[in-house]
Amino acid sequence: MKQDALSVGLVRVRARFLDELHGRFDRIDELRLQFGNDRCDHAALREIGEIAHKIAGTAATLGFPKLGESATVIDDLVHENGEEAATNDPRLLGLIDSLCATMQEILSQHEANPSSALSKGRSRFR
Amino acid sequence: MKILAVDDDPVILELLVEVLRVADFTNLTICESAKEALDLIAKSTVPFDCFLLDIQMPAMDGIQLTSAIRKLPQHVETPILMITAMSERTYIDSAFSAGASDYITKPFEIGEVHARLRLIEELVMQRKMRDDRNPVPPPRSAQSIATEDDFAKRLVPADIDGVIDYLALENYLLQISRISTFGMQAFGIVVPGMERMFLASSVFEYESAISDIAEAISDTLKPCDFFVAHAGAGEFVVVLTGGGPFDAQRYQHELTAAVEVMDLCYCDGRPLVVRPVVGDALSLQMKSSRGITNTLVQALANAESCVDRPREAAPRSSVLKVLFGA
Repeated sequence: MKQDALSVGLVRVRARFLDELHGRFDRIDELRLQFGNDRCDHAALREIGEIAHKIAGTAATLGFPKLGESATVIDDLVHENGEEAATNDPRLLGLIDSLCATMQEILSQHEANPSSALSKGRSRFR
Repeated sequence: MKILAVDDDPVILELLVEVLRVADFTNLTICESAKEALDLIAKSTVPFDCFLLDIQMPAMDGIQLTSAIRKLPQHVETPILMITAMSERTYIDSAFSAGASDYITKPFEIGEVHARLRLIEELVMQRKMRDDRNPVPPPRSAQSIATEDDFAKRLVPADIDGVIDYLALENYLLQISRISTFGMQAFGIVVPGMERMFLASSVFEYESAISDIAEAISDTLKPCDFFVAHAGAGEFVVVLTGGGPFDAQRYQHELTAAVEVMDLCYCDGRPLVVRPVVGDALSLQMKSSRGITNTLVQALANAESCVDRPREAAPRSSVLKVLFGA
């Protein structure tokens, strides 16, 4: 009974998460371009880190573990090393691209079949 | 249980509402910034029983918010559970130093949040029952005689670096053990005859003495990284979070000297002679969660076993020499 109530509640939160993910995807895409053109744009990288941090905090709990992992790698890179050191990491742009690709995959899946992305994810309920 | 959750991510707040609701924690208030949280606390006629705080927030972060909440007299012992994506050791150390009671890293397991909140709820209920038994707190004056209950209580002297609640210390170690307890050690400190010394004394005198001893422990351990918790009566447990060998005998002399310098006395001016006994340190490396809890108990038992085994005098030395056996 409680598990059912939780499932219903989580579907609502997943819907909110996916709504937010649209905006976050657009913003990261924009910042990625900005940062790609000017590697000294630490403010852009900081904001990418902040968005990744938020995604990393909820994605896995809501049933999107791959997205959570991609976001966590960027969050760790930017937070632990600082923007300047992260800028010089040769993996950085590839990691941002990979995060964007995972976001896009989930959003496309959701657009094609809204109920699928909302209900099929396995939440971290134990 | 009246809970306040603070996080700048609205999705997390919405998730917490759902997660807590199914576990019947329905008295939940949410807000998106530390400033808003402090306003809500100030305006609240019934105090919150528990706080769930994120760390990374714009303006004032969750660690600064924890410090601010701890400064409020009504929330000195209110459980503060950090729910954060910051899993690095430095954040965990800072959060517990600021007064956090427990720590969960995001992304969290829903069952884990429920389990931690159940423990907090139990603690809150125990404290309420204690307060209900004593609806009018006895005045803390020189005339109030300390009872067995006072001696059994684990105190958290305020505003002393590194001094935290005993349960928070256990939770800190459980959290750190998921990363690494490499080089970490625990040792106990007991003050023999503490109850006897304060049998006919006031609660105020007893609590002041505990606070003074905690201050001496904190001062003599600096500049090392450590946490110290009062374990009831005249017992303390210390966790050294950095590496290096520890010389218990030399530290005991250093601590005794620091306490002597304080010139402690009862309210009527009689001198109070306190002679702390320091037990040998135990490694916390590679311990399971149960092993960590047992080690704290064992550290206190080690110190107790040294009470009747007087140590030889050691030469005076600096704090660093004491801690690292130089």
